[in-house]
Amino acid sequence: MVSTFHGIETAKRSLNTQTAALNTTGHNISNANTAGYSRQVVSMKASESMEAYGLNRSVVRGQMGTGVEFTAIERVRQTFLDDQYRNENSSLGGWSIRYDTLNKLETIMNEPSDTGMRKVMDNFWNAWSDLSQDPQDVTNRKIVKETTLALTDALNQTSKQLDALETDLTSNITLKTTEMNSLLQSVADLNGNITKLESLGDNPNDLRDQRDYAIDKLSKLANVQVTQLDNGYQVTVAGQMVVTGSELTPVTADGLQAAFTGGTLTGGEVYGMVLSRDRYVADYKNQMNQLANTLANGNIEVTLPKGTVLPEGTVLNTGPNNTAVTYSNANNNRTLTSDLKVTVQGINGLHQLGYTISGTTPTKGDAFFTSKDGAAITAGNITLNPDIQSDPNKIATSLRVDGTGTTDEKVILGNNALAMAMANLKNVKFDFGAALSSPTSVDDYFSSIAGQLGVQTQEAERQSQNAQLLTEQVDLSRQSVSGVSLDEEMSNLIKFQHAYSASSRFMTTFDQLLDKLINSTGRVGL
Amino acid sequence: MPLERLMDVLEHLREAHEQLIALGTQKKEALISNKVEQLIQVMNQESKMSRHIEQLDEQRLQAAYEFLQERGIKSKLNLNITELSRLVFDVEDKQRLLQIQKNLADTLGELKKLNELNQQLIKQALSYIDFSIESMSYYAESEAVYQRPADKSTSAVRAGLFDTRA
Repeated sequence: MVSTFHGIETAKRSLNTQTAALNTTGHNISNANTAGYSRQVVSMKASESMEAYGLNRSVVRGQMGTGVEFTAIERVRQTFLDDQYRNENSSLGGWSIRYDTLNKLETIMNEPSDTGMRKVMDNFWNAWSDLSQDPQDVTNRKIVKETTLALTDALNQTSKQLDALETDLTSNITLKTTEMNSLLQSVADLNGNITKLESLGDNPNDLRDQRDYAIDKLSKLANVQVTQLDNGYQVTVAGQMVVTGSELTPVTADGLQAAFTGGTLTGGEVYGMVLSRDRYVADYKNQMNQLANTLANGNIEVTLPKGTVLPEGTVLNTGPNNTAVTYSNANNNRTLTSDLKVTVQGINGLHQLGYTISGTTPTKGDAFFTSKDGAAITAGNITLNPDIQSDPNKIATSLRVDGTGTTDEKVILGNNALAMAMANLKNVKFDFGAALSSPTSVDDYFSSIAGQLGVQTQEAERQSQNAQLLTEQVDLSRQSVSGVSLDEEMSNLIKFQHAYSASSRFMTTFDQLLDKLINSTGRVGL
Repeated sequence: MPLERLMDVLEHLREAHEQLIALGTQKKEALISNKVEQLIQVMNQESKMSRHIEQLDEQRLQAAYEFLQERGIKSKLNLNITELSRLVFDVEDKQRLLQIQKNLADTLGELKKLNELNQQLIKQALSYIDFSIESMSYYAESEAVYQRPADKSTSAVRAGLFDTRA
């Protein structure tokens, strides 16, 4: 037999439960626009009936229900979708940084344009061509000097920009590492709080949302893996366990670098940055250095015309089996009796086969390009020989001298054979060493660099767009599960309000019944 | 003139593939926003389009064959357009043919990339569906209590939410 006040108790439980449901609905509605929030539902269940098995069991048919109670307030969330989202988000982070860097590289390369490297290079060859028409004209010489400086400046500038991009990426990696650590710290803290609350039997839904949101943000920075343990999330970043329980092992830029080399850092913005720096930027720096060095010293094949008088003591590999031959007065072979095909080392090598027009005695040309710091020539340090900069007459143009003996030998100033040979280098194939399998012209080499960059950028753009769409798709599925739908919450609100009103009506009814029972029953005739 | 016809067919092929690209873009939108009805509609149109392309392809074969015959080649060679273009002697026609070939190749490349993306999107959506079904029709791997081995086959009931017996 149930107690007299059974109905009041039932009504009370109902009011409590409906209030909880209304409060949760209100909480959902107010967080409809909160990032990372997942909607919560109150799980209701019919409360335990009071009739247990026992000797004192009543004989009433069936069990009298006792109303409703809520067992938990749970958040609606699919961890599978979280995993999917985080994977895609990592890939998106990686590709978007790669695309970004390649875009910057394109700006640095600045091709095709009227001010880019190719234009500067064209001007350089044209200046030599003009000089060959009048090798004694001082204006032409100055133009060669200026266009050469423009060329070396452009190379220097490109190299400087590439260096700056590299430094930029490195400092960004450090920045992102700090960001990661602060996110990881909050995950570790939340782990601690959540464990504490859960041990009290509560469902810390909002803290869990915050923790998941922090992991979402981490996934954009690097590839993250999460395992749910008793003491909270165990977080693995780039293959290294960084958070267990409330303990944090901070990530470091060096550690991430090592993870990249080891192949465990496979996604996210940091991955994109390390990859951009170590592959793209390093590669283009290398190629620009190769270009500068080959221009100055790379092997080229030129033909020296018949009648050329080589400077005293010139050594060329023109003997049988490319053995060295010394051209000197003593050997009586300085004047070439027929066209000679010979391999020389770049513009510097060629320049040293001719004579300048400065001074009274024949002086052979000096190295045309030198490095600013004395080290091997790179795009960063290449410059026009300072002697030539101060005296353009030291540009060698002539391949002939007049007279014999050391005293009355004179340079034929009007000879333009060397200037012609220089101008023709535009189409001569340079040996780029290991960088390219076969020799190619400088123009073609530069085209291939620009072309490669274009293809890489296009691919990165496509991939980052794809990753964007894929992330969007998972996020939409995730939203359809966890997101707050205001329409649905509105209808819930009405539903629970009705239930609440009905419960209170039920309580009133029972109150009236009890009133009748207590105040009016057994008072017959009073 | 067979060459004209060939170029015409190639041009139609390109147009058909461009329509496929338009459909693919719609499909992409439908996939992202999980609109199944729209997806089915697009797929119907796609299959219609691919039948159309098949027909065009046959016309192309026919036109190529006729072109070869006109050039005095009797055998049914399977030449690609670059090879065919060597048999075109008029410079302008040749250039037009190669231009059409390039356009068609570009369109096909674009379509291929779009399809790859759609494939990824479908795969992602399917893996979730797969997971959902898997978790609902969960099959208990180890049973909690011992059974007589002879009974085992009959008692292997799936503990899932779906009654999978059709």
